Amino acid sequence: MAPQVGTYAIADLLDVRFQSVNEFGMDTVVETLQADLAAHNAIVNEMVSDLAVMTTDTQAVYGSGAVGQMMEVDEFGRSETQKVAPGSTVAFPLRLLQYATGWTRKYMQQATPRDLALHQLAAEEAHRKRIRYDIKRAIYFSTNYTFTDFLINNVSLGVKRFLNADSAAIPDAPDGSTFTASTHTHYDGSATLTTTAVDAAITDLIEHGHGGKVMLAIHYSNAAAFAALTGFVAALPNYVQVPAYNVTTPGVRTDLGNQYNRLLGYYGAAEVWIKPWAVANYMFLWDGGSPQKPLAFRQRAGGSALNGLQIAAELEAYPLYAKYYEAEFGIGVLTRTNGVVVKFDNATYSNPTITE
Amino acid sequence: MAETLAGGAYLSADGKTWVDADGAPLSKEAAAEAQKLIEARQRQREFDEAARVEFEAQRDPIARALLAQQATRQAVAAPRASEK
Repeated sequence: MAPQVGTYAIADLLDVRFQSVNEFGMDTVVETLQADLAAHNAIVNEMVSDLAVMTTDTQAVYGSGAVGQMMEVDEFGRSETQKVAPGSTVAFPLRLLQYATGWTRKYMQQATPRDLALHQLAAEEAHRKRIRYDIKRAIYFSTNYTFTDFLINNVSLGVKRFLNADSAAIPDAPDGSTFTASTHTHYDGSATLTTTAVDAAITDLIEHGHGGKVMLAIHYSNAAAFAALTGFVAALPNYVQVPAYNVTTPGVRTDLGNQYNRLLGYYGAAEVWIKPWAVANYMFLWDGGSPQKPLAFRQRAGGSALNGLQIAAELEAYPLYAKYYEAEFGIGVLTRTNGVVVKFDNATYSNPTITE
Repeated sequence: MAETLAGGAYLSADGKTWVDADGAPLSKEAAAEAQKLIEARQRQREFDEAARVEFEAQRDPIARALLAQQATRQAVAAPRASEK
């Protein structure tokens, strides 16, 4: 008989509801859960990479300072030497987060592989929730802050936001025009959602050269208001048949079954997306095609073994048993020009209340 | 491009405290100035939006037809000066 090839996945554990862990085999359970954890981390990295560069750096330099100027001289002339400022420093926080789960020895004697699988799935969901929370804080909070890098060397790091009129140097526009660093801001407000407000936000982004693939993210509750804007072109669902000769309908379809993460349509230069990390009544614009991504996702240096969600410790103190999942990461703004946030229910920008 | 008060002026999450780009509280005078700047910008945006709506209406063939019909009715309704 040909052998049945395959690998136990977490779905197999979830199916085992009437057999205890001891009967099923603890080694098999552990191996399956470790494989699932590795898969979870790979998926999380891929999801985050749309917005963030994965890094182990504490700080980075973005952009460059003022560009020099050609000086006209005659045959005896010798112009003065010029120096270009190196650009602005941005820093990234690093935080240690844990998810603990515990049980008694008697519980383990009765528990099924499904029960242990559910523990891990809960830890993975908590990890994803925390990442969404940190993405929201990195994007929507407008004021710089100081972070003490207590997990590494206690150095005070200046964590910056998108351009917020803090007088840090701003790279010149592609056409050479300059920006006033003390007044130029990418946190704007509009009393209502209007085409003028969206156009201004798109201009705020592309005037810095970030026009390769303008993405605009909104909360699902704002989808109807956005779709009502003059000039908005909706992406159609899959079930709509479009004749081949129709060249005015967008080719990319929307997934109506996914309320929290789908392409809504197009407005001007921007692809309008509903995203799970978006906040109601705020829109976030960025250039999704730029290698200079808006955010940086910092993890501990030392190799992939130290990154992602891991089992940090398993403590046994009869009759109690505890397992600690741990993740060490922080999210900060990397490219300060590649992000524009607009609050469109108030003319004054204010930070939203963000809960996990 | 969006401009704000020099140094930044934003409301904190409670909606009551004005802070600058580094989170330091603004003085009352600076907060008042920021408020005026924001109100002026909002008025300009509303004006721009109204102008855009009017422009879009002018471009819309159905709106143009309705306006032309309305203009004809008004011309008929208003007597000419020579007939008075």
